[in-house]
Amino acid sequence: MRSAPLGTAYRVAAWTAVFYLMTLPLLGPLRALWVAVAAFAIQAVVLFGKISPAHRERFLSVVGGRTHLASWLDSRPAWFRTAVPVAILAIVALSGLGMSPYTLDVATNAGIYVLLALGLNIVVGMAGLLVLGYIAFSAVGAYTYAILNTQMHLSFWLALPIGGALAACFGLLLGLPTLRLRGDYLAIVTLGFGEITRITLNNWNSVTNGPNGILGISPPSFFGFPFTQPKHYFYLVLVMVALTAFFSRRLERSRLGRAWVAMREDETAAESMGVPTLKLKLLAFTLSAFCGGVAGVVFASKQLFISPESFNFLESVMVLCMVVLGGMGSVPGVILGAVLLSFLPEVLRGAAEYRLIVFGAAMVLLMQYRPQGIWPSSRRFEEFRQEK
Amino acid sequence: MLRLEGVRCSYGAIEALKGVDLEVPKGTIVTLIGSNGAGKSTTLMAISGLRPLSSGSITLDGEPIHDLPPEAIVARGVIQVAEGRRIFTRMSVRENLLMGAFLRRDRAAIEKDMHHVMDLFPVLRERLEQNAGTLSGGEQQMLAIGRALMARPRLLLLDEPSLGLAPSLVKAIFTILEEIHGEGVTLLLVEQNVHRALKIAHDGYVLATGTVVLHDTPERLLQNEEVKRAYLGDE
Repeated sequence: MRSAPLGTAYRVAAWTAVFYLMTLPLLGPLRALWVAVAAFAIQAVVLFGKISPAHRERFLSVVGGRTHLASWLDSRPAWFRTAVPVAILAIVALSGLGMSPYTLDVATNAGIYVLLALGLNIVVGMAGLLVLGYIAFSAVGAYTYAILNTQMHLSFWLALPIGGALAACFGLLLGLPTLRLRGDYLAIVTLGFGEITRITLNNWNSVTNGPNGILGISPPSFFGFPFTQPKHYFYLVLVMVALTAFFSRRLERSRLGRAWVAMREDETAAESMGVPTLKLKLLAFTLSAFCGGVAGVVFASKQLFISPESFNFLESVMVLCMVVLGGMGSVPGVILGAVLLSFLPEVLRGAAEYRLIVFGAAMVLLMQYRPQGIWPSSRRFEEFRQEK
Repeated sequence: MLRLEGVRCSYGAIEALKGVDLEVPKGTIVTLIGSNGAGKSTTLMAISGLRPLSSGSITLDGEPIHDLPPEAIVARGVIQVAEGRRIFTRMSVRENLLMGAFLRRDRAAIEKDMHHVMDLFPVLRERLEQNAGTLSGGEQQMLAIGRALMARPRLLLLDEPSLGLAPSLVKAIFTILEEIHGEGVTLLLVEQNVHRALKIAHDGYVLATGTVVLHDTPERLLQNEEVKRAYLGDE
């Protein structure tokens, strides 16, 4: 859709004004102005892209739009496809030796986000169900470990499966009545679940210690050797990320993964092949919740202190953004998205106030130019191409 | 083998099936004809468990199946090739075929059946790793039938398999249907291509506004004045 330049200019100006007025009471005059300027810039870029196809073409090739890395990699021989992730893992593991404690800490946090994003990817990317309150499952895992550890000295390694299983139970309980809902409705219900979980944690003083959170969680220990340095956590999380990524990849290629793709594309056709769609959705939900719970246990064991504030709605949104940014359903894409978005705040530390603006702008640009994500799965790539 | 008695089925306030009685004896080809909106597709959906009945019964080998979920009906060997092919365009041909065998766990036999399907449809062998969305209409129809065969059907329900295909392809499809029947599969065929469909059938039903208005041998239906006028044109 192309409109006259003047009309376009008016529209941009009008939208900028609306943005300014809407954010004014929330942010105050100066910061609202910044938001408006950012909104204006985004609009301008977007429209510029629309006006000049040649320019957009160039932009796309700069971000690597047409050269499709995932399909290139898919067409390599099998040993190469195995060697690449192994090599990356080895490089990351080795570089951990030379990192400063601060970098190690940031990288460990990024790793926990990767765990969360890979977990959410099962339900959002593979099964195609939009879940907005995902961090609640992580909260269940984290509180399970925190409570059982401080009260009964439960070890970290036992808490991992217990926290995961409990989160999976919550997933099952939430999924059973809600999975008949489609699309937006499911998203709203899961958003509500996320908030209910957080508010419950905030108010159930006798068990969760309310907003003060739980202190004095013990770190994991490995055969009597306690985890005390950032390095220890780094390698723990790295191993878990590798396992989760491997498992996700296998899942994607399995009979189940195939059935999820079929379900996403044509539910009725899948049903007439004998795919029990409701059960498979529930399974995706439960598996995803399990991963969230496990990530929560790891998070609690690293922070040694948790409070409901660590599990607010913004965290859910962040994890979802990681999945979408990287490319829904694509394991390497989701890892990339999670790493990028968790390092971004550290890089932008100087401009902390405007972090969310940059973040929003990046998402808008992404949706405009590369809706399938940075590194989409080859299937998703097809889906977006067909929808265009 | 399959018996429908007084099957009623509605979409909201609209009653699509107003008491359909139909029987498919084992080892036969039964054809169901009728104009658009007569309820042919709804009948097949009801058999597959994809549409709930408001009353009536569907029995398979004497056992009621109308309360079963779709996967249980598939597990009993009743497989549908839906209208409009509905293949999974974002999967490869091989993955589509594997989806057909979703409920089966016998890997070796699945592999063997895949070769059998590719013998029936040699084009599929050439396109095995290709994305199914890139196939032509005829190839997609062949894939849809092949996918259904992967489930090892005892009773195959086909909803307008010749729709929108070139005449030469229609002929090929019907030849293959006869071949499938020759392997011992019972067929219930819904078709707009009435002439061809009745030619290969053992029994024919004419459906209009949700009820069976005619039930006769294909020879007699082909001679029937009303059928001639309404469905065969001036042949």
